[in-house]
Amino acid sequence: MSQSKPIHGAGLGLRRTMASEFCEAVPDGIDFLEVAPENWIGLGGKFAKQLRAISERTPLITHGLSLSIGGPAPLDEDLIVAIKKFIDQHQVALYSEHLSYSNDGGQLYDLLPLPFTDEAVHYTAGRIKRVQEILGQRMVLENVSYYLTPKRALSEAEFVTAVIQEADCDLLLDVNNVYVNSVNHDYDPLGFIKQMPAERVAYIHMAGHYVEDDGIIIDTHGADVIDPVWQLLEQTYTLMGVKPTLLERDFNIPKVEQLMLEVNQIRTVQEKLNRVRHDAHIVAA
Amino acid sequence: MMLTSLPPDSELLRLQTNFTQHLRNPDSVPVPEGLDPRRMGIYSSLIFHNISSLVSDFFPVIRSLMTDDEWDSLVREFFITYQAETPYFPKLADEFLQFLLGREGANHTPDYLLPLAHYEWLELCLFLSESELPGSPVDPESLQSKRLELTDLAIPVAYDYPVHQIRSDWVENECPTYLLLFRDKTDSVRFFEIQSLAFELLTAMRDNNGVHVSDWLANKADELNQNVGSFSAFGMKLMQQFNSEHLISCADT
Repeated sequence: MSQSKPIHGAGLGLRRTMASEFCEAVPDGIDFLEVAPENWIGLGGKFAKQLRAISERTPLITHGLSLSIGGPAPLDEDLIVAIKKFIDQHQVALYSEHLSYSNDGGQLYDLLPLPFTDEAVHYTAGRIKRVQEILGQRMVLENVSYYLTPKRALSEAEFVTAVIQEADCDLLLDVNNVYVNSVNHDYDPLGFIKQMPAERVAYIHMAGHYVEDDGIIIDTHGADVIDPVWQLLEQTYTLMGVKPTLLERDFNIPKVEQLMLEVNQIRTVQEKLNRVRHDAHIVAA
Repeated sequence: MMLTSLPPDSELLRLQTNFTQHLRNPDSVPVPEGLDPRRMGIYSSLIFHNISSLVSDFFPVIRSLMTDDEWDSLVREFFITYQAETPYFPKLADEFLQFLLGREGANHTPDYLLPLAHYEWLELCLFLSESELPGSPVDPESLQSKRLELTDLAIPVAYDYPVHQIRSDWVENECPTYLLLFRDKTDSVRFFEIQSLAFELLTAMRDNNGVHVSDWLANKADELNQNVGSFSAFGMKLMQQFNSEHLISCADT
């Protein structure tokens, strides 16, 4: 087993463009970094050296893109073995993936929506179990943003919780995705979060998005986090307690100082909620 | 029972297949029944732009030589006709090169496209390679006396076009071109323009697990009726240049 470093506090999704700066010094205030293993596995040269320098100093977690956990193509066990090796090499605490699919016999390199059906629950949960068997550790599955559902026999919340329960895996709660989906599919975001199994939430994602002319929200990770999503994060902490939380920014990436404002805002919300819980504890005692 | 693949009569399989067949080829395959065309359009547009931007990052010169329409139609053809298997994003460059090789001779494809694609792919391969350069150069004595081989991070290549000079606003005429492409000590990828004879020597060093370079040069001078002394001196000077970049190692250690 790897000697992984547990994560806490506020983190940031590491892009290759940030690595050249972060390998010199990771900015104060970043407690952990997240990488997509499929962007780094098998790389040598400059990128590999940068990542090694970073992971020696800052805890790393992995967020996969290509496993296609609910997809029709056979499970790519070579990829899982390679991820296990990467996890050991960089002492990674967590491996998360998306509750979606991305391979129909060929890779599509994007996240497609699963139908919310019992068949999809059982099939996906079975594959998650197989991955966990190979890895020797729990997977963390993310609630994805989606623009339509190929079939809806269950609600989204029922689907997500059924998979988590049957697979006995953890949840990466993407609060921005909850907000995006609540607008695109007209539901109450806090009501959704209340249905999620709090004890299974390993960590949280925050991100910005883009609103189209007709009001549909596209989950771009290309803008600042909006206020309603910050409020939803605070409400989530109130419900579940403070969880490790990271900012994803994949497009229109601003300067690090600008990004750090949002990472620090995560910490501010965490400290505020910790204080509230501490005070409540004193009152109760 | 743990089910990790789907039976042929699976509803899930049918829903997913209908979904992705439309996404790969939205102009020819209709939107699956019951699904909102506006929202399917979001997916087909997101997925296409994602692939297009990934591939253009790997082949920036090729992208810059094409109009938007030409590029879009090439990427669309890739997406419809080619099943990319790699889960690793940097390896998508390999898949795109394989796709281009498979459509060799296709209409409207300029002759320089394949050599240029190979050159851009090779630059990326060297930049990302897990190999490392030897820690030190070969000592001058061994350069003369030992069998020498090329490091994995130096690759001699021959093209029909001067691919290294092609720019978005300037395509060179056909002309035999020999390069030694390599990753340097600072992990940057560079090239030396070389002559056909140097290409022959470097290829021999690479393919034969090492070559006794001074013997090779003497034989070649003989074969070409050249003065052995000056020919060999020229060849060894070239070796010293490559050696100073740590591109050479002794084959027998």
